[in-house]
Amino acid sequence: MRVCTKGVWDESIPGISFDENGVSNYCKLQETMMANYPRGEKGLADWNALVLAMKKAGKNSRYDCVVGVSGGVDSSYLLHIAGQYGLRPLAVNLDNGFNSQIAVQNIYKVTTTLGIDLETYVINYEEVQDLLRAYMKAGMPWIDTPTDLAIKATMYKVAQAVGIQYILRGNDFRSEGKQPKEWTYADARQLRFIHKRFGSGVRLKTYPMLTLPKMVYAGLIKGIKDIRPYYYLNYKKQDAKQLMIRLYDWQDYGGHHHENLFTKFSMAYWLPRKFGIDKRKINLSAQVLSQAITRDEALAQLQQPFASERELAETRSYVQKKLALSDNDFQQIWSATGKNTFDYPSNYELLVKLASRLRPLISRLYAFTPMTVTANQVLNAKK
Amino acid sequence: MFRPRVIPLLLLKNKGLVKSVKFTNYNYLGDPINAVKLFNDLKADELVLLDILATKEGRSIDLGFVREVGDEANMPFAVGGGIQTIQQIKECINAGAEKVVINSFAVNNPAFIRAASDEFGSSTIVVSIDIKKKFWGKQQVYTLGGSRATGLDPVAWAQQMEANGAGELLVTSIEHDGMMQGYNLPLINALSAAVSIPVVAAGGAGQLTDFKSAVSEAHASAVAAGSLFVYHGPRKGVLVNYPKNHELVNLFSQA
Repeated sequence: MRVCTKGVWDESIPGISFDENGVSNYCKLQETMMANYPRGEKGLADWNALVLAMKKAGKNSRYDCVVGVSGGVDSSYLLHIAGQYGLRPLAVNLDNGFNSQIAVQNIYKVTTTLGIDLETYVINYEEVQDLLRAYMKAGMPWIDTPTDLAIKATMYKVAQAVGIQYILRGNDFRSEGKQPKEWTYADARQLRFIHKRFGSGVRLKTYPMLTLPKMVYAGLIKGIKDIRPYYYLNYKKQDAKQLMIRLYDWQDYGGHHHENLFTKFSMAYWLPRKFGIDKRKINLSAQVLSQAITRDEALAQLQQPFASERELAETRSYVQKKLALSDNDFQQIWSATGKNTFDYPSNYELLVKLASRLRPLISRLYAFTPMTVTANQVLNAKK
Repeated sequence: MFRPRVIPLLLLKNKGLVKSVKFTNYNYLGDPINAVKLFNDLKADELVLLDILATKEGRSIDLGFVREVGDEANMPFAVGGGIQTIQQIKECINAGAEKVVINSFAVNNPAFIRAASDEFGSSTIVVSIDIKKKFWGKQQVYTLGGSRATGLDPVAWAQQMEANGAGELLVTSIEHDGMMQGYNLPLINALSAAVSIPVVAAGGAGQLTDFKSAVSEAHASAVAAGSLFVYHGPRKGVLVNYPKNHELVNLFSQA
């Protein structure tokens, strides 16, 4: 299998292509992003400007910004940074019924130590259960989509309810990279379709749905902006972990996103075993390009299993029990043909069609050009 | 080192975990099994799970649910809700529960406690007593999730239940439930003084020192709490938590 000469992207990744030097288009996307969002002095200046804007917007309120927290290192460290820059964040956690004890304890420790208020949004578990089962039955690769969409929707919901204009998120393209759209593209329209077709009729009453019109309303009328501090600031996951452990008695939980048990199942069991998808290739490549690890280290990490066989079997059986799937149900789901996100209707086509005209709008919704926009320019340029 | 037991008290409504304020305003907290798993990982001493709709709906707590709790909980746990027969108790025990909690049916049929205790031993039978002051009146025992006044005097009732073989009393002050402002210490004290079986204080814990007061001032044998273990901070974020053993040892050893 062909592997990018600069990172560890390989031919298992949809839409990948290589130039004469064996450098992949994904690598070029990563380089473009790194150039668009420089760290160092320029990044710090951009960030400081954002901090000022947040403080100004929040001066008559108890909070300057909303910070989504999962108990993982990225979001926990974000609270630490917010404190360092004198911001007054409201921490928000979405509870989908799969938070691990380590995650819950981490949120507790960090918010308590820093004296940060916590707001939680709990989705009715029967709705979560029905949505996750529907995604599995639909044969979707990224079955944790309902959680991802709900997290984003919750940030907007809480920001609007409490009257906060800025949402900070712990995304960092330098350590995560860009997952191919075939694996992860998602929107509310598609979620509704999949739930209607594969769900068992549980009505979605508490599930937070951020539809396109709602997002536009929040951005244009309410002026809510989505900010990713790690795009600007020098952030090294390993160093951040050490600091969090030292200052907050924060606890490491192993793999990327393993703080949530369903996410762990999706990453470490469902994707690799049913689809041959290893999302770590994207994450590790990004880390190689940002010089957090060497290419050899990345290749060596890819040889490592996601977790021990025993741990994976336990995670699977826990998920099966939590979703009320019998062995027979699970077998049926497992042996059904795998699909991808474009096998079901979504707003993707519409967004691509409108992309150029939507640019001014997008720049008002986000404080940055979203990676998807850049990805469309870079990854699809050749076709 | 010996210290009083500290027990998360979890309420089940339909399939969800809820928390009340004064036995009303039930707030949805999420999936009960995840909470049980979290409390297990946090090494809680013991759990109590009560199905608050069971009696009203004329059924007993779902055995499938009790079994699932048993799968996740390594610590002893008690279950309650609509229990009215020896058979139902047997099924709950077989499903993994160590104790059963009986409330409304004990009032309707006090002799049942005798029969249950004879069959399973008193340590299996917990009688739950919910108490509040009736308008203009004095403290009395309520049943059916705090909706029906029985006219029973709490102290006399506690003594009767002890005489009938109850192994433990779970005493909740309805007015203090969910307020997080401390237990009803005079009430707990009155009942602790009246019986020699363990009295578990419930209703009102808002901070760890409330546990200490319940034990040292009101002589409770153990303490139970809901809000304190499921809410976090001024906005009452839903976040399962439980103190570390050394914190509890310190707490109770302070003079």
